[in-house]
Amino acid sequence: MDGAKLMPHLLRAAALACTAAAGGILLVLIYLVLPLFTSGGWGSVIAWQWLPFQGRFGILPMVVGTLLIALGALAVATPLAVGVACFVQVLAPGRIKGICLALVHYMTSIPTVIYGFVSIFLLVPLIRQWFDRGTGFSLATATIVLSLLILPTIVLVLQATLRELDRSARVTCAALGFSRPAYIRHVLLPLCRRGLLAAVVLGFGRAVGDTLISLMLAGNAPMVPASPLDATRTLTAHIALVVATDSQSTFYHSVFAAGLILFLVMVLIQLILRRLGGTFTP
Amino acid sequence: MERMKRIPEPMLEIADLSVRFAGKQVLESVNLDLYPGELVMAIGPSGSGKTTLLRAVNRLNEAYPHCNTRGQVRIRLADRWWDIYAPSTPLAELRLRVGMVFQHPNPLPFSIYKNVALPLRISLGMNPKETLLRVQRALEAVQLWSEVKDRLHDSALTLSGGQQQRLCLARVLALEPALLLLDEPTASLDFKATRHIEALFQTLKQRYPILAVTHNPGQMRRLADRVMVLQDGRCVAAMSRPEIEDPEHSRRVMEAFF
Ligand SMILES: Nc1ncnc2c1ncn2[C@@H]1O[C@H](COP(=O)(O)OP(=O)(O)O)[C@@H](O)[C@H]1O
Ligand SMILES: [Mg+2]
Repeated sequence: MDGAKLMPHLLRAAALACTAAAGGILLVLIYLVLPLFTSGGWGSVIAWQWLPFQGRFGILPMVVGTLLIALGALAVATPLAVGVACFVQVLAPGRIKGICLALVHYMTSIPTVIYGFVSIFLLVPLIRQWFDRGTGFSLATATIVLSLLILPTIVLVLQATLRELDRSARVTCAALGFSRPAYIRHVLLPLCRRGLLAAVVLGFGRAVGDTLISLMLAGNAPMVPASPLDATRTLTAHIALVVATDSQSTFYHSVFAAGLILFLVMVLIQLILRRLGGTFTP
Repeated sequence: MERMKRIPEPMLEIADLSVRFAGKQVLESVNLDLYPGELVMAIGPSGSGKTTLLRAVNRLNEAYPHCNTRGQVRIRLADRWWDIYAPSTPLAELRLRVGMVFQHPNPLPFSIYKNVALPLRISLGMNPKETLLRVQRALEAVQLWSEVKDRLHDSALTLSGGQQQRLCLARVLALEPALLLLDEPTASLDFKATRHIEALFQTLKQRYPILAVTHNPGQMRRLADRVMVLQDGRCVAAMSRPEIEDPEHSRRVMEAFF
């Protein structure tokens, strides 16, 4: 068989393999989670206390921890990203625009673990000194670093939308006497809402799915934090901790439940993105 | 009486204008005066620099990279001469006074109403009540009001090409400019829409001096008071109204340069 004939088969095989892998993951997850529903283990998991040696396997604090860190990171990163994207697309002169974009691309390529250990030596001591409370491993620390991690994702997705809009509207608006700030405020931002939403949802997905930053920086205490300086634990970190330590098999219930919740959140995000994508082109 | 007898002063003076993009000469030593009440048309094959000439008047060439402009462009606003390229000339204000209609209709992807209202609100800082009045007057001036008055809040992109172009004209007229720049404003329209818009220009030129460009000799004959022929960025011929109306003469000129 020559290359041209082989190609469709190779592509089909690749597509099948991907689909099979994704389907396989889903099936295993369902298989693992099923006992939770049949044996009533679900009730013990949907609870507020994680005291495994006393038979309490609640993962709700981790759900809260995940949401707090992810939403907090979004709240920090989104305004920053809007600023960076608008600056890069509209205000920055050519050379500076190039440098900024290169920097943002570079940020996407930094491994998470680097963010983590640099922060341990840089941010954690600072937080400890400034606030003089706790160990420095806290909700706030993890949130700040996580917002750095998702910043380039949001910037790049948003900037792609802005670039398209800017191409069609820039000259028109210049001819109408709009100043550049007015152009950003009244034309670009209202028109890029959908792109911004897509960027934010994508960033949220990254934030929820990230494991290392919260594992290394959030302190991992399985409780609902009372202040930003308290330690907390995310679902992902929880899974990593339980699986990585010599835990008893009963602990695994909570891992499966955490996995299922994460999976459902991700599916939801995909659905939202698809909806946005479907109605995106005018 | 003294004033009446004086030769009228031009509204716009272009002197020795040269424009280069990334080192490539696009316009070379172009001169032109535009007087009140007249419609001057630059005609030339595509790529001859017509759009660049118009954009030189509202400094829109600067919105594109690697542009270099030389020469002088002056405009008379409220009996005062402004050097358009002087650093002290406020650019946004200048562009408000020089209305431009583009080769392709370019409504923003907002509603019909917002397309006209937004520049009024933002660039002129008008209040909502004044804005509403102005929008209506502008849409009436381009004979679009009766067609859109029941769907002002529909997207402007739902309008036909001819309607969109009239909307863009209304958007410019609402700002009450001192002069109009028209860049092949009927290039993307069908026959009927073209005649409709041309009729509008006939009446508009009483109120605004108009600098228009076209590559269509028929349109030139119907509209122009004076013609300047552009070729490769140079002004190679000029025609007055009697010469335009003389079919022999204008045919000779057209054949020489097209
Ligand atoms: N922004 C730009 N950058 C580089 N070259 C340009 C730009 N605008 C116009 N030109 C060049 O200038 C010449 C004249 O363009 P233009 O003024 O658009 O001509 P016309 O409107 O008569 O068709 C063309 O050769 C075109 O390639
Ligand atoms: Mg052109």
